[in-house]
Amino acid sequence: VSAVLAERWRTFWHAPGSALNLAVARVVLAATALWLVLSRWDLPSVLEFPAEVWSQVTAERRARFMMVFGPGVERVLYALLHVSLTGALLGLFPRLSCFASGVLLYHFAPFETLIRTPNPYLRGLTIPTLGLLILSFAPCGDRLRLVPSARADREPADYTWPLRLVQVLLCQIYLFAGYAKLFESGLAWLTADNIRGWLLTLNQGLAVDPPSSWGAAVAEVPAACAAIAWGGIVFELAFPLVLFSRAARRVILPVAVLFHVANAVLFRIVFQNLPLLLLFVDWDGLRARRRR
Amino acid sequence: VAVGLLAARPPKSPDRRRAIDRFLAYTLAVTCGVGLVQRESWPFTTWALVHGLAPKTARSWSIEATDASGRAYAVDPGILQPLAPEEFGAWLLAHEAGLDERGRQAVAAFLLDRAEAARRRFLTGGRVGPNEWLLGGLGAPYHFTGERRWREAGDVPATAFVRLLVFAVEWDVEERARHDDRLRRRLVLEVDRRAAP
Repeated sequence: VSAVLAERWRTFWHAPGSALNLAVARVVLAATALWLVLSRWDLPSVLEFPAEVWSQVTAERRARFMMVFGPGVERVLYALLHVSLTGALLGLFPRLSCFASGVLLYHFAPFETLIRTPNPYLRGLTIPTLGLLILSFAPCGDRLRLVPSARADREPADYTWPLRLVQVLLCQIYLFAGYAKLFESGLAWLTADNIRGWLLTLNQGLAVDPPSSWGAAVAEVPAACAAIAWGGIVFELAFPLVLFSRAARRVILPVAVLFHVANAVLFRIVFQNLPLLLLFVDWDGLRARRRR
Repeated sequence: VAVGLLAARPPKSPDRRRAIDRFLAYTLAVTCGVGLVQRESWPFTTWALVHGLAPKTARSWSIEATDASGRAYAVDPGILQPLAPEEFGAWLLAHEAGLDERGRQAVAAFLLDRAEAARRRFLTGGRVGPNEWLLGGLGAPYHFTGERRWREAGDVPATAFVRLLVFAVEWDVEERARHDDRLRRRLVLEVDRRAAP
């Protein structure tokens, strides 16, 4: 059994891979993070909120995220984050840029939520933080870089494990989102009444005119609510199949796009990491097919 | 990071594959462990979202401001950017009871200053908060997307805001589905610059 498991481990993580696919992962992760930080270009200014707002943030939490500087220094560091992300995107000192970006994202992502929680997940920077750090440990700059460099003697497997690991982390978003529902609420989460309740609650809280929202309209159709519950949980738990099956990718990735669009329209929940689904595309394979 | 750096050895280094496997196993163990026990440890996280049962009673908050004539206007929560409205709201509802009078005044005055700055910005350039300065409408939305309160010039006064009120809002979800105006509002913060000497 251990020999079979070892062989499966080896073929999953250390099969020959593609330098292009890994480089595209670098570009997609950096571009997504850059889009988010450019969209919150003045993020360090949250430190200038009244002291009362920050009074519940413990010294332990500040230390955990190295949040020890004033707004001036933080603005300089935030500018550095933009520079490092641009470097990762363009392939300028790609591994160093990825590493600096990962560390700085770890520092800055909690700025968005720290006044109430040290867990800034689902704000878009969690996977780029981990992903860029992972890529910095691997030869992510052998392709798609502005300044070509002499390549070290790579093993083809060097391009596989880092991309696979980031893909696994991305799958965990869906898998654990589904698992958390069953872990927290059990099968009661799957009832049409529960989905109706969430549709109403979120739209009543976020829409200017809740009765005219799509969410409120769907909430009035029990069969639609039941379909959302079951369809959503099956989709979330099945998502990791994309790691193992090309056919599953062809079905699940387009469904994922629809899933997120429906979430945004009906529940008003936006998934800022939608572009990261591109990490599952075999760019080398696509290029080869276009050449033929 | 340390385990990752060990995996980043040059090609042909002895034990390199083992260091990579150790890094993979560590990352899988930590991320799966956090997910399975559902205990936050960011950047390793639970990914839980809308995972509880829907509440029967919901809570939110709103800001209202008045101009010198006393006319009231809803204030767009975008004035809080770059902070997402839901983060401020969650903080407010969790901690307002613990604020003393001085703290309430400080937070309310801060909000009034931001609302007034946003009002001026909106009337001159159309933006409410600073987020859109660079990417405009192509900027990343927040995770929970509330709708804009300020869409046209008539949504804000031509003259300055002089008073600001923050309410905690509570409602029965099913009752509000039938009657959208069935809300209970409680004043939690107020600042009035008309009363200033």
